Amino acid sequence: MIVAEQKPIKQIYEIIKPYKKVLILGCGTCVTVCSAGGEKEVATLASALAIMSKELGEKGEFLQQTIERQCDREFIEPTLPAANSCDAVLSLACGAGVQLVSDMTTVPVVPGLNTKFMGITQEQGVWTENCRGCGDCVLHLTAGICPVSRCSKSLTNGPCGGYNKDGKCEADREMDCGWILIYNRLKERGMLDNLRKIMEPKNWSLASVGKPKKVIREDLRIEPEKIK
Amino acid sequence: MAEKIVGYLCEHSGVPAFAEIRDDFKTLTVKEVPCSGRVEIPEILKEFELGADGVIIVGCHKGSCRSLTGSHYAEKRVARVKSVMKEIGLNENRLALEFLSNAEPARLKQILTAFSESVNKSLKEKQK
Repeated sequence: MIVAEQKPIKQIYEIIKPYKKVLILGCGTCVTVCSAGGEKEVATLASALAIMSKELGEKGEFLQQTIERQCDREFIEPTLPAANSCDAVLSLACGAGVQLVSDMTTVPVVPGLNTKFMGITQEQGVWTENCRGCGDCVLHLTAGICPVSRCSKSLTNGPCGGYNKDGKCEADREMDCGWILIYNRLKERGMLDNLRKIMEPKNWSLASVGKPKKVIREDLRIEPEKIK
Repeated sequence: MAEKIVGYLCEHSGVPAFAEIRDDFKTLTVKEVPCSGRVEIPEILKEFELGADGVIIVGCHKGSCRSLTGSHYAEKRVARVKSVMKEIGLNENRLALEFLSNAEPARLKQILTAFSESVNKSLKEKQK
């Protein structure tokens, strides 16, 4: 899932200050799971902003809505009349959601969250990064532990020399060294031979950095001109 | 008692204890809940948005909560609401969480009286 964190309320208030009527739009998928932009967070933020506005003697009006996903057009469409009737939309989605809503509305769309990473729920209330979207997955070689996201240096052929005796990373003494985890699990599963397979330098042009990426599935695609 | 105080009372502790002292706190808006852990963060903030001067949540002692972890969750949520209140400039003393048993009406009376005074004080500070 995409893990995000809410911006400080004061910062959000400053962002929406120029607008009187604001629709706070939650997203029911990833950011609901990581408790950053779901229905409850929308309601909490709406009340907080309304109280703040009242205390400051301003007359802000805050509408609330949470849709299934903000990264799919069909879920945004029904909300457009409400969104376009406001002065702005405060989107509590990841950056992708904010952009799609912004593409579809006629009013300004502003972010209420900071998108952090792709991760998992480690325990209730704790989320950790587990994927950097490198575009060339090697988890089959590393016993399901990602060297790109779990090693601070994203090394692909074993650890650096900086790990601690207790298996902690030199960049963060609280964090496990990704390569020690990989080694231990490979050993446990009798797959240590995998370490002999030298990984070639990664092709970072495939990763989620640099130019915007696109995935096209021709078998699923329906070109608008063909429908007509 | 402060004008608008809302009390979320757990039906296993706060409600029966309050039944004994109800006449002393006629202006308290009582909301009976099956457990203090049932009170959600947006719900508490909504009360302030709607004009409550203070909100108090009364649940069972930790360790004797019938839902096992309800009081624990209530504590976490109240802490979260207090941090939001601090961020938006609301006096945190306007929100309280107390744990008691159904056999402690006298203590509840003391708690409500003290809370009411604390809310009044907060409101006066705000007016200054």
